[in-house]
Amino acid sequence: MRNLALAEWILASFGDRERATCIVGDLEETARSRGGFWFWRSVAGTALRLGWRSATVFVACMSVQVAIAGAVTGIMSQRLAVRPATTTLPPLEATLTLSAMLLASMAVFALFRYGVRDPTARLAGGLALAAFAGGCLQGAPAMTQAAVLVILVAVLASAVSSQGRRALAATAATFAVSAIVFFAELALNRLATRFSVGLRFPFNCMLVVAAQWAVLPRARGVNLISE
Amino acid sequence: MSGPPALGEFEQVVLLAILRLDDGAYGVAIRAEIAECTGREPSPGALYTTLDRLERKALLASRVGDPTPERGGRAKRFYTVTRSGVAAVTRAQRSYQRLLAGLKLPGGMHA
Repeated sequence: MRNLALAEWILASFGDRERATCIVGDLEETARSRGGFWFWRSVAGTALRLGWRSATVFVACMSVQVAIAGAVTGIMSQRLAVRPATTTLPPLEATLTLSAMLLASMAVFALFRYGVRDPTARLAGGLALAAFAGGCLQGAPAMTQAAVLVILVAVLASAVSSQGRRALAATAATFAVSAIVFFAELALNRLATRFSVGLRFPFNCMLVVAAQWAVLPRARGVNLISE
Repeated sequence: MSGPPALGEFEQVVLLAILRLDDGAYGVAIRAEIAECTGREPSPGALYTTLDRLERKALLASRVGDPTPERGGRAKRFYTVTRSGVAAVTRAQRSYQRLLAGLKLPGGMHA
């Protein structure tokens, strides 16, 4: 007797439960004539195929976060060299910079998972670009305000259609959760560094990406595999 | 120039198998149809990732059927080729036909 629930759990780890159920049903139907070895080999093969793809997306999202964090650090260093009195970014610019980092990795995740035509990928990508421009590329004093305006217009424009509202809701929910994870991680890290056990790269990035990974597909109401 | 997305060879095979099966295209039937028509049986992993990719490209649509006892109470997921899917596979196959046209290959001349 094959443990179908176990097979379903394994496949659901790389996607949604409903799709895993259908795949296990297919495998069970075929395994009636081919036997248990074929069944478990197929479960393992399918899980590997799905898992490989998931791992690629995970690494890509982390890379984007690290690249943006690196760009921010570089820009900050330049600014500090010009204006030594400046030690931190102004609150609005800091918010935009952090938002750019979270939105960009979310956009990459959505891009890989759902494709370039996906409204969530486009919305998160557009907002990330605007936030990055406002937070980091300060060519003119009005750049930050212009970026905020662009973000507001994009949000309002998304709210017009039902598809846009769904994308907006998914983006907002994922953004909120990943921001909470980011700050929780920051707070825990400050506490932990007292005991010299701070969470270091790449684990800190992994936590945020994992949060986005968990929330975005659920917020969209669709699955991780097909999406 | 924008048109239907480019398709890989296996993607075309999967789309054609689903078109042949009409309303009865689900995982097991698609694998069987491919095996019967091409003589090679795709691995389940290759098939499901391709089905997912095609669905993501909006070349396929799927619906979940009713649970059946011979599948351990699991439902079937039925696939249909969308209009874009038909356009994409037609374009890809016409390209092959144009490439073959006039070639002298074993088994006869391709007109």
